[in-house]
Amino acid sequence: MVNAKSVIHQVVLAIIIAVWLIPLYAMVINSFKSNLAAQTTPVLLPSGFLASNIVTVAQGLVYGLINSAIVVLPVVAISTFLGALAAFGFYRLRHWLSDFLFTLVAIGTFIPYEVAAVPLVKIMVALGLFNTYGGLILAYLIFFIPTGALLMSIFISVIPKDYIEMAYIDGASDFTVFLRILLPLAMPGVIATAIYILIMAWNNFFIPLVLVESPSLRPIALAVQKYIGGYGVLYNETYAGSLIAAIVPLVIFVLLGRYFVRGLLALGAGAKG
Amino acid sequence: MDSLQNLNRVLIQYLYLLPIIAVALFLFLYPVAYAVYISFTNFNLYHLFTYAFIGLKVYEQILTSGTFYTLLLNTVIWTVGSLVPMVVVGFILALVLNQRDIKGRNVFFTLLLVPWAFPAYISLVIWSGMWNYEYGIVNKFLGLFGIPPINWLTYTNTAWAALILTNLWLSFPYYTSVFLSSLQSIPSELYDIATVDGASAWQKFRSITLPLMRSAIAFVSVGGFVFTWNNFYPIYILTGGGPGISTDILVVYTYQEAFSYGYYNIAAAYSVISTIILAIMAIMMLRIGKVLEVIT
Repeated sequence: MVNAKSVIHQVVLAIIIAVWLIPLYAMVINSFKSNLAAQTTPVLLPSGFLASNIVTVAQGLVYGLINSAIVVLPVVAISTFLGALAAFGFYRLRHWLSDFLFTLVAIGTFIPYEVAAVPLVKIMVALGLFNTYGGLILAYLIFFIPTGALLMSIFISVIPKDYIEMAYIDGASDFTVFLRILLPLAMPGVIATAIYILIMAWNNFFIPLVLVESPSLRPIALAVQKYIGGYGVLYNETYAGSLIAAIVPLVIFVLLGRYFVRGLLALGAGAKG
Repeated sequence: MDSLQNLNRVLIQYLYLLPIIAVALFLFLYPVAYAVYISFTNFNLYHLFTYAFIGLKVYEQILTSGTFYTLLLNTVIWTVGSLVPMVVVGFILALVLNQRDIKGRNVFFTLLLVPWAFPAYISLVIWSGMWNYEYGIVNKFLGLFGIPPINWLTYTNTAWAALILTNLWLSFPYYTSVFLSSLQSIPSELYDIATVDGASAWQKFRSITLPLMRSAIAFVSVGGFVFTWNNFYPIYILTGGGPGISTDILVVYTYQEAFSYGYYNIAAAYSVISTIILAIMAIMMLRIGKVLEVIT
């Protein structure tokens, strides 16, 4: 009796998850079809294995992947480090001013990009950074340093104060405590923060949409647009392009998914897609 | 001397906050303040260099137009219509995953979260293909049951159905994972005691699970409300707000006003109004759900 119930639970779950994964499955198998097959054969059945369009599309998107890497990697490093630094400050200071700043940062992560879009473009034009890597990096930092600070604050808050106090008694300076004691203790949190920012920044579409004009500077999120949407779509290339745009976050998720999940859960619903 | 050293020390500690202060003040508050400012001017594509202060004119124009109320109603339909199924499905699935007899819970859980690593716009492009009239898998699937193909995204009602179903697909694993992690933090002894006392499964759910999950549900709902209200991609990619503006919401319309038509001042005013309404609603929900009392 109990066993039958457990089997039913398992089957229901398996069905829900199978349905849930259909779109991704469709993407993968259709990216290996010829364009004719992609339009005429059933979407859910594989039909041949044609690697050529994946290769063609990949060649057309390499520059997008490189652009994304150029922009996103510094953003991950800087916003994780500065976020951790700020979190350390919030952790040490229990003062109304720092509490107020923390509230400001927390609210900041909730404000949608769209509200800040027009002023952001104006600032970047004024600084001469519109349509440059530097401008993109700066814009990402604006949004991801607060995210980093918020996440690191959550992860740091569970570290017992005693460790820190002991280090101070031994005469260590603030920065030594931060680098030598706090960061190593919070390392899982640091990794979770970095992975979370990496995936979110890599997948971000809106910031480059308003800040980049030249096709050659487009990160992957924008570069892939030439294969998707519009008229006369080549369906197999659409799917192949999608697969390539998703490959980096997907690999990271498969290898380090548990860290990403930790970041996601810690941040609550403030996540931006 | 001692207090001077102390002050010095505090000042040094504020140095750690310097990057975040710089970001918060100069790069974040400034754009928001600037958006408020240009909403009081006639700054747009036609007055790029010679714009002037025109007071509340833009707000007057927006609040007396029918467009605004359509958009507001659409935004509420979108937010509430998406949130209710997401929370319900997320919660039920979390309850199922939390059953002690589930084998391979971690495998299920990981599979459920894989699409989260996907760029949202990619998933949405795939979905817009799935809703396609001619080639879409949805119509082909319905065809198996003899249901004629539907032009999903061209009629208001079916477009809403498609949007909300797509958003459900995109979002419910997040709710499942949050609910599951708080379900797992409920001590299992509580259930054991209740079992000894002869409580039925429903009674245990009513008097243990639900009260203890109350704050998690309330908190996630408020967060989800804010996020969905401002969720730009699904509508922008699937319908673009069409047909007409019948599925357009405030945040998408704001973007279109600014970057498609060049009315930066109107866009700014829309985002200010949208943010104010959202803030009021979020605070009301926090009060009603008594979330603040739980946190503090």
